[in-house]
Amino acid sequence: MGEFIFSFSYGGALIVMGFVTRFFIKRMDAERKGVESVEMTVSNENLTKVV
Amino acid sequence: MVFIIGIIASFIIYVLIGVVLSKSVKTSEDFYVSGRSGTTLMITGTLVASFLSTVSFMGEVGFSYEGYAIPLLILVIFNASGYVFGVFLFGRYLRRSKSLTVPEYFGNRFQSKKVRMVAAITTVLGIAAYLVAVTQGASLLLSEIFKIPYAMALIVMWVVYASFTILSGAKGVMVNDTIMFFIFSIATYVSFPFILKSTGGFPNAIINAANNIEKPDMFSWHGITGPNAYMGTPTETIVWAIILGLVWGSVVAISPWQSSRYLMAKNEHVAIRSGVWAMISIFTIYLFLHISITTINNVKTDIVPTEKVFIWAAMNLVPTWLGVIIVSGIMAAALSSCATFLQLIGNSVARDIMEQSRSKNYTDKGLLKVSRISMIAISLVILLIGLWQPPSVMWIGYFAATLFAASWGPVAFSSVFSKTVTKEGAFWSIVVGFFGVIFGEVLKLSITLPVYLHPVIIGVILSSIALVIGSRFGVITDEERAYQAMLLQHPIEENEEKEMSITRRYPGYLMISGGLVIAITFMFYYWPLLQSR
Repeated sequence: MGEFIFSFSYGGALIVMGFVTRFFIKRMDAERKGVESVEMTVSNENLTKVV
Repeated sequence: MVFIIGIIASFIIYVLIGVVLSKSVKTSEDFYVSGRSGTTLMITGTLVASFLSTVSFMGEVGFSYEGYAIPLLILVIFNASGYVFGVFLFGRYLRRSKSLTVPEYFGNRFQSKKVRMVAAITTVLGIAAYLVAVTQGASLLLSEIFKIPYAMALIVMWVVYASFTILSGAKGVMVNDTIMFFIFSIATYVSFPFILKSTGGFPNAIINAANNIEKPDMFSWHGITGPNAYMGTPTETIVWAIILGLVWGSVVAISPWQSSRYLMAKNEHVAIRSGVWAMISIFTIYLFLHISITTINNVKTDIVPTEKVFIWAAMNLVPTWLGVIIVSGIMAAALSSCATFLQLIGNSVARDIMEQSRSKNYTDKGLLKVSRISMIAISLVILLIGLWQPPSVMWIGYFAATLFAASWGPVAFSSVFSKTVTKEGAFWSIVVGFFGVIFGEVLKLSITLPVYLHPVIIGVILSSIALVIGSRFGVITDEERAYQAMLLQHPIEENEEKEMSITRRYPGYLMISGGLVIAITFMFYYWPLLQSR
């Protein structure tokens, strides 16, 4: 039984880490969009600034 | 003779690469972090090559040969996962800091020379001990193959790794590490079918090893247990594998010789992708290596010392051309670790200790010169220690490597995410973690510690307590807050959208690799095991 669990878990760990990586990348993507939207707002503010 | 020619040829190539690349080293950034130009392949290569050494290809394979392959592979599950957790929770933030050394990052993050200095001193002490251990292991091997005295082998090793590291710094180390990564990976994957063929063919090699009378339970999930075995009960074995796996996972995540590799990455995406590939590489290298090594018991059960089992296989079980690749691969694994260690110690002595203690800033050329002089001096000291100290390879390697899990672990992660850690907390956490592990090791000499109270665990607990208590003292300055905010700000790279779309594929690569590894494990381990019952 232990051998069966090991055989499945060894590669299974890579699959689990795939999900972990997906979670981190989604968070990273959200951070990136946040930074980009702030940059967009700042550049729009500059465009509408009265000189 | 052919083994000697193969090793000498590989040595000449490494040194030549160092000579050629030294011409492109113009600035301290080139020397320290290869101009931050590392591609995914190169960062993966240097991550894996710095991690694997004689400890892996001699010490650990010997352990598998003795009957503990599967507990070791269980340990690898937790250990190699440290690459993904490490790069997402520490490595990519370290890359954002654009520091030249890891102690420099700690110093800037806490705006403290004291923290930087203590991180540098632990780097020098811990890695120097590891460097001595790996150099001695490789020299013993070299002296046997070349049939030369140990002292002469030590000098040959020193000339090779010190020359290309001193000449070309991170540039040469990264390129050579990548080449070495390919050599020992090929050695492992290609030797697998040849060793199985020589030990009974597939699936008999695995079936016979599982039924070995001299080492019963060798292929069971818990390895050999009982009164005369290294392990106690199966429960103790699994606890050992998980705890040591977590300790090594922390080492992979934050140790200077692993995390500093991300400083060379071209951008954050490259760092993340390299962490993922490094994890996949370690999983596959260990699986193929340790299954094939265990089957060697079918043809010879009394190789002494067991550390030489892979070398014995290279000389007796596989075709000569492959034997040459295996022996060169083991030497490559040792050399790559030595080069990285020397590079880290030299950089820390020059940039974090000498520059900071004198409170002066070197010019770029001056720093380059001082770094090279430091490396020459340190490599000579290491050589002398290697000559004077009797070789006691493995335990020093394990001790020095795991030291960082306790000393740096709590500070590294909290430096990124905690808003309450002060420089006092960071300083005392590093100091107490370092001495905590030494205290645990001393304690182990007089009493038998339970497996869950490994010296590193003692160190981690003491280090975390010191971090919490120490952070009650001192204040967090505006500069520290600003620096932490900068670390947490996602950088927008050139071609960010394109880079992101490539990085988004990586969870898929991990999952596909996982599926393939399950299939391979069932085919080359579980199915033959069922046939043996």
